[in-house]
Amino acid sequence: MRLVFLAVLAVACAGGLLAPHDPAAVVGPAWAPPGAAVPLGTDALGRDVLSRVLAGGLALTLVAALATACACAVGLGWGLVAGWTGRAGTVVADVLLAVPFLVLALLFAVTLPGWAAVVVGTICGGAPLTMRVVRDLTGQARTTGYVEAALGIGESTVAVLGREVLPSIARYAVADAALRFVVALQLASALALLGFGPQPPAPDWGLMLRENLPGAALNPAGLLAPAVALAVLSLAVAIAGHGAVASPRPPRPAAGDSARAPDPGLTVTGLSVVDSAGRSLLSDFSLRVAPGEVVALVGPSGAGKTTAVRAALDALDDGAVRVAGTVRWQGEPVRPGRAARRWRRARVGFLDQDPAGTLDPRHTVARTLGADGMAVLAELGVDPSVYGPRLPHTLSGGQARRVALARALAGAPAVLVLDEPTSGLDPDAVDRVVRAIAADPDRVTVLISHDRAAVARIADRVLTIGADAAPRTAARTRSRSVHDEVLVVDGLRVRRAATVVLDGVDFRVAAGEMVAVVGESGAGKSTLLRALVGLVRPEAGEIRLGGRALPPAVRDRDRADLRAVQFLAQDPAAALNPAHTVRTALARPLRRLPRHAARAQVPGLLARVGLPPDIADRRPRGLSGGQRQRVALARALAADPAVLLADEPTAALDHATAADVLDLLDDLRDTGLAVVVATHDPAVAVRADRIVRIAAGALTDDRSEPTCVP
Amino acid sequence: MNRHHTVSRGVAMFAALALAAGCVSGADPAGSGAPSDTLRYVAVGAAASATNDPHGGILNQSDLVRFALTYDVLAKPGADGETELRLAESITPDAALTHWTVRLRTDATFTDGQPVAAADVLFSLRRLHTKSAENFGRMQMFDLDAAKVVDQHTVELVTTKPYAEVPRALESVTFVVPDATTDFTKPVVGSGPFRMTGGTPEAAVLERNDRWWGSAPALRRVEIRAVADPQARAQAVLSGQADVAASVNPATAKQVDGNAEFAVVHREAITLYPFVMRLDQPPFDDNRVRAAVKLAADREALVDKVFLGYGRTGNDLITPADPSSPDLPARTRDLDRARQLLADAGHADGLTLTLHTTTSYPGMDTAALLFAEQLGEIGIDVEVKTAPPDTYWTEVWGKEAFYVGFFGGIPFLDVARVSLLSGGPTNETGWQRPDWDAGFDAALATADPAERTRMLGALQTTLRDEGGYLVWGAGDGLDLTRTGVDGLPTGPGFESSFIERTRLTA
Amino acid sequence: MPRLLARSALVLAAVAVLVFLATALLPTDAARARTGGRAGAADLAALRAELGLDRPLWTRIAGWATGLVRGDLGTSLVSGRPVADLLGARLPATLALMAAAALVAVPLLLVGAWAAGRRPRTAAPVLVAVAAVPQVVVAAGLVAVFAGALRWFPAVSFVPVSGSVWDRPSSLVLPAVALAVPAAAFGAGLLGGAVADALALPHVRAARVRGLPEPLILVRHVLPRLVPASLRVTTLVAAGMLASSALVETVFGYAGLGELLVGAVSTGDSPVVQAIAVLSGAVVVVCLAVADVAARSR
Repeated sequence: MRLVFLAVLAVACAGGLLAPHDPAAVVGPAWAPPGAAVPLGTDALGRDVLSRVLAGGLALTLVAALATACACAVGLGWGLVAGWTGRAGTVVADVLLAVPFLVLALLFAVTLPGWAAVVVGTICGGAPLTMRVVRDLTGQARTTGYVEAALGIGESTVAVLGREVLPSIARYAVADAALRFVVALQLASALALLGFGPQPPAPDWGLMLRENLPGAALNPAGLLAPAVALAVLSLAVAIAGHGAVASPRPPRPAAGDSARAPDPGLTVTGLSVVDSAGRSLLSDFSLRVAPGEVVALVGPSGAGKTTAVRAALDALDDGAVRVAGTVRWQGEPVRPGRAARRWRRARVGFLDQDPAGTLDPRHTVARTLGADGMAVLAELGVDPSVYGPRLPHTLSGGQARRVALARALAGAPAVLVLDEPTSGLDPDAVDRVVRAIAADPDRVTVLISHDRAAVARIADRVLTIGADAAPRTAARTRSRSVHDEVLVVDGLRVRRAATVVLDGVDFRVAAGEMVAVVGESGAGKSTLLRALVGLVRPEAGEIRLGGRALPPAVRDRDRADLRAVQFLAQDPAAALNPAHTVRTALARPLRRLPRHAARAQVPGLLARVGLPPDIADRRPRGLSGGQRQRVALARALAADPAVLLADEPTAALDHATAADVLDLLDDLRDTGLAVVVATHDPAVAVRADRIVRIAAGALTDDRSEPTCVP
Repeated sequence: MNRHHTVSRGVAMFAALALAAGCVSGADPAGSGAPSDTLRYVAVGAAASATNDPHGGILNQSDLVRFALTYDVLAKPGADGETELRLAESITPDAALTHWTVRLRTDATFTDGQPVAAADVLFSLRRLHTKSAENFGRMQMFDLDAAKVVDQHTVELVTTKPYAEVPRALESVTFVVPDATTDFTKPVVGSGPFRMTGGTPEAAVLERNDRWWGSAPALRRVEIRAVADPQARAQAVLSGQADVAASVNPATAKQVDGNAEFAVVHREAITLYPFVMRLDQPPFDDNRVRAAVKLAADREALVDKVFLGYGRTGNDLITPADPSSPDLPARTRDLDRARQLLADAGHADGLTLTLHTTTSYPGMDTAALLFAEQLGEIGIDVEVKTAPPDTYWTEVWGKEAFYVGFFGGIPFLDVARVSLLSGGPTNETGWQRPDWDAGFDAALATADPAERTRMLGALQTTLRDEGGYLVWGAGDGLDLTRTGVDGLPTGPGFESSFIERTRLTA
Repeated sequence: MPRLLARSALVLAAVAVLVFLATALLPTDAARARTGGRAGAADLAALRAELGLDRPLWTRIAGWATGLVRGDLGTSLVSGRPVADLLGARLPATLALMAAAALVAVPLLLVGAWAAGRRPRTAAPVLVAVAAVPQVVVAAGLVAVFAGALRWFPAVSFVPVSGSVWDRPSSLVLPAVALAVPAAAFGAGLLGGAVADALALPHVRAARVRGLPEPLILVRHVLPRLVPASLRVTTLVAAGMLASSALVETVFGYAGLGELLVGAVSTGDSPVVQAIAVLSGAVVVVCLAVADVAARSR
């Protein structure tokens, strides 16, 4: 495709070299129809139309390209600024839109030279369009986790705009440039039609339109040829724009094997999955689940558990394709495509690993679930009357997970596929979930989980995918000497949407100490951490770092402060910029070093968190949940912080990896890092030096045994 | 003078005629099925300039035609070039040719019943004079303060100098309106063969005025519509939505050639795109250069390409259709002589010139391009510059040294008055010849018509040989009609606006 | 809400001033147009004074503005006819054309946007190519095929002298399509990006996993998100159609405001240009305000 674009561009610019006649030479009578010597006939003066078309694109293409570049640049810059600062600045855009374009175009045409009029006109007509959409996208990007993370490590606004926001909207911008090109071309030909463009006898497509219009009935080719040329050029530019950013075409899916086997339940045979680049993600996976049976898939993160279940459901995305294998339900094959979709809708309940994103942000919980779902939700321990009218972004992670689970359970599906159903839930909630899963005796249930205890309780069979290191049960004991306090919190009060979540919180962390913050879902653990890092502004109270008061808002903190307190969000997917490779993401905090030195550190950082070095070239889309979490941790560590605030750091990790991470944190604590962890995981709480509990807005030390966190 | 609407030309180039040749066929069967006494006439004009004021600037041909139908003029140009009296029964001078008695018809009445009186005529002429800036000083030769009403049907006019051609001066836009009319924002009553019964100035409905003094027109009803785009006008006739389209492109005429359902009415030799050279700017201040340029033109080729053959070659006479235009041997292309003249003038190694043109009228730019090539053959290197139509007539025309001008069937006297006399408002060639002025005045003071014609002819001959106008050809005005439309006027200039003799035979 | 009104009023005022300045800066003025450039300098000056063109700019625009407040749109500098009459005669025809064009454009826009969002690699370039065909050629092509060859519709769209355009609705079809197709193609290209983004949202992808059929996803998840974007794109498309209506009206001989605007700009007839500009500007401003209100209420 790229070749086609280049070929068209070459002809447009240098076609004059191919012209059979001199474009300005008279070769016959005026408006002669196509013939032997003149394949497209002659024009108003008797000149060869074909030659003129071939030679007529250069000036137009150059001017249109220049105009497009200017309009896109102006629109992008304007949109970025408008979206970031939130200030409208759109009055000018609206005025430009409301003025009759004819008046503006004529004004430019008479006061500026032809090409400048096209450039200015395209900016006036095209930049406001680009500005509006870029502004919206920037506004959205501003609130994402990765932008927050970037701000959190002290990036300046300009750097954030340039390095974080711009790449994520680049996809749109490039595809959109084609439309600005069309505006420029239309404007250029319109001006040529009015007599403002290039002078005769220059061959120019716009000029040809004007010259050949009167005789279009005598030789239509004189009018059609430049028009077709304009369309083809725009087509080529548009294809190039869209093709440049789309992913390469994935391989075709295999048909399946259609031999019948009359077994009831779900039978998956020989599934193989490759990604869009052809790498194998899953190889010859088979699974049989009888009705009433619960099968758990376990294994290290990244091994392919989620891929396997999604492949079975024919719900793969991001370019991954199932290339072999069959899926049968009640003996009948489920073909990929429409049949699979119908089967999913009718029979399957699915819980995604990252449930918060799967809830429609504009629908309340009640609307998303419906009456049946609300009943299930109550069983899962979330009060429907309180949470029914809420929107998803006001729910805590655990609550959102339970809402999504309720949606999956509602409608009594015959097949239930759950990816990490108990992750991030407190023990009471875990109980309820386990009960709900086991409720239907005929249901086929497939479960993916790192939670060994829950798996032990529910699963009839456990299938291991990928090598699984022996779980470490012994917690490493370390002698700990008390160091100086590095973080002190006094009297913190924080509101979340008009309700007071934390009130009068006093909290101290010493260097080298690990403090676990526990509490029910929604109690305020995440809020506390976000307040400490400066992303939520407390209403009252003071935070001191190393004796110095920390400004409550992240933008008021200086570089050193920002680096000193690092935050690991609960949602690893949103914390990484989808447009950046892992290498870029890790090199960012190392900006103080020269570039190659920073990038040289990347393998070391990856090794610290237990990731292989080839991960560095992947984008977040190509990583599993656990891998993303570790990359985020590596990024936080790259800033060399004094305090690490982690929100459910081990939620998406399997046991072995979680233990590795905790070991790593132990090592870091030896060097003086203070760690505050909000968690439900008892394995994490066990390792902490201290446990504090948040309940009813207050923070209290929890002196009970770590292993029995109630 | 028939001046087509210049201002919409830029957008008027947006045409929509891409019918494949030969696909054009007859009238739309589901069309309006016009009865045979209604003429649907599509004229040149734009809505923005449509006006109800017959004495001011008339930018639209549609307005001109409508005024010609709804008002009486004192006299009109006849088809043979002679003056045809209308409202004036007689126009007689005194011996000095300064006091003219105009006797009016007694049977003319306005459509509101009031008779047309001398006071109305004088009021109209005076109004025409106050608006002389907009109508090229039509009444400039008169001293209208000294004019007076002699009786109910007689006006005495006084000219500032002896002026033998007063009838010709009055055969123009001397539309007669009732005395003391002040509001011209709405249509004003007239006494012409038709009266306006509905519509707007840009889409008017006229019906026959049974009170008119002349012989009753065959048409009962006329619809005049102003359409700026020549292709749209042609399309109207081709698709059966109109009967006549004024001023279509030569390409359209070629397209319907041989098609029995349509006809093209030729108004011969009225469109001129002269190449204008300013005498007061070098190198054209030397007559040898001007003569060389005139000799270098391949007039046949120009007429072929610009008018597609619909026209005739020109002899550098400024108003070939005028009765006073002399009959001279045609100027032929003589490249050797041209080169010789150039060398004599000191430009043996060539000249570099800029020729300005625009797109207001179809073919103007084509003419310039072609001529540039032709001049190349005698060693003159010409760069063609196209200016946009909106700015051309204000910034290029009459100012630059070498450009393409326009005349549209205007009589010689008007051209002289406006562009050739030393004191004229727009002397586009810088022609300042007191002896020529004197000759002009003398001609106009000559009572004998034959002698006068000869003298005027001599003036034009001088202009041809020494002036700055290269008139290489004159194109026909082309009106597209469906078959069965007869009697459309074919004369030059103002005569073509009088369409009341048209009749529909099918 | 009051802020929105204030802002809209500000935009409209800016439009009026900008258009006035632009018209004043154009080389032609009404006096020159009326005399055809063949009048002497003294006569030209006298005519200018009579038309009020020799007053300073700010006086002229203040005069126009006070007239507007009183409800007087002024008189044409070229023909002397009241501007209100000129506009009033042509407004119904323009409204009819715009309505017809919108009727054609909106479904095309939605279909095109959906196609561009679902298959950006193939559909979006095609839309761009369609939008790139010069309007002149679109109109000419429509005439050639539907009026010339097939004879389904008339080749020119004269508004009947007595009566309205609705007496002959078939004459609206070709101009409406000529207006709508390039505008819809362009708008669909713009909206396609928003559709593609909506389809890539996690909860929309999750809805697909849950097995919802495409039309349901479209209606329940994509369309509601698109309302602010589509309102804005519709405004853009409407503004674009207003701009290209001048061309289409000229080509089809349609007696609408676009043709009037072109003529008025060419002759420097300020009051007419101002009136049309303010009118079309007001339409655009209202559409923008509606789009902003919709966006804000999300």
